[in-house]
Amino acid sequence: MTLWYAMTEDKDRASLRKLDRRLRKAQKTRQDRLPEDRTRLPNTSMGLALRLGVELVTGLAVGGGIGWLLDQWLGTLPLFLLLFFFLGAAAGIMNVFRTAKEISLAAELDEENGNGDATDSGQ
Amino acid sequence: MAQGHSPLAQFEIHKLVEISPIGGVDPSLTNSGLFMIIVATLVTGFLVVGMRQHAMIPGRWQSMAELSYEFIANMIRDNVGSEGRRYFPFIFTLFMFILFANLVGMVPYTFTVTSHIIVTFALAAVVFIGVTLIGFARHGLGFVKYFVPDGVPGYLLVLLVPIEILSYLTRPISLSVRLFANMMAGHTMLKVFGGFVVSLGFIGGWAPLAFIVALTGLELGIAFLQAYVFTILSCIYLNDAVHLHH
Repeated sequence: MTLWYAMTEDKDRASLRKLDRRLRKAQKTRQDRLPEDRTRLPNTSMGLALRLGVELVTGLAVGGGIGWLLDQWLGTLPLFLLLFFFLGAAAGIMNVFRTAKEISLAAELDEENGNGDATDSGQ
Repeated sequence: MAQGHSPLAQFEIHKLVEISPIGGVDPSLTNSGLFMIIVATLVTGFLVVGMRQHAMIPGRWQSMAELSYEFIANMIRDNVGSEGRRYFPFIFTLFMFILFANLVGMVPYTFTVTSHIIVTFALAAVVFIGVTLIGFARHGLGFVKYFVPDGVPGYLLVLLVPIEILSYLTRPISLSVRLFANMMAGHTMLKVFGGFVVSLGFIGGWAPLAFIVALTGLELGIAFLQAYVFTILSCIYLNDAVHLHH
């Protein structure tokens, strides 16, 4: 009886070790997955328009706001407001460009994965 | 409900419990504060009660609690990698708070906490400051390199570095405006069409009523989607700070 018990325990240990190895391997492949493999934002036409619009407007608003605050502080009213307004516009356009690039990259990836219609059927 | 006819009356803040100001700050309990407490209680209740049995084979509530856990855990792993795991508690709290605030706001006669820009901006500011501090803590002054694009000649850096910094500074604004605008627009639209139902009466009121039903479904979707968008963008910002690339 004890012998039988020991034998099954041995077998259990071996299978546990095997399971452990498999778990470790699975965990490693999960960890190795790069952050580039992003969960992507769902794209609706309305959502896209809003996202890009918000990016552009906040660029202008933040740029203008910082410029105005600097002017208030230094008493040079139109100087920094104008300068930062244009810098903010550039930052906004850059944000829009980056977002758009990300969206088209996501669409390309979807097409490569064979579900090209996923971008316009979602939402 | 005399003032309730304005579609914007739902966003008014009332003091429920007056507390005298402490050091110039008015700590009175408002309807917004009350609903934040309700939301926090609901999230805690949902998770604690859901996980009370912690069974091997989960029941309905436990499944939902585990589902939300895994949803955020996967999101962090996909967007930040395994280094992001230590930030899980914060991201999870953020997601659950926004999601429940949005959903609680869908119940008639409630107040939508996330329809006020100061609330969403406070959330976004915490994310922004936290991410910036994490960036500096992990990379020291090397985090400054995040604002210097690669392979650009020196004279252009004078122009590009301020633009990059400005673009970085727009993050909390765009993050908070996106959530607040979606919630406020949706709730205003519901109220406006609700007004149409009343003013068109029994004969003409059915069309806007049907529209409200459809809109409520859409708003439920948006409530979830915006919580998701806020959280995933926080993850992406966190990834930029942890891995230092665009």
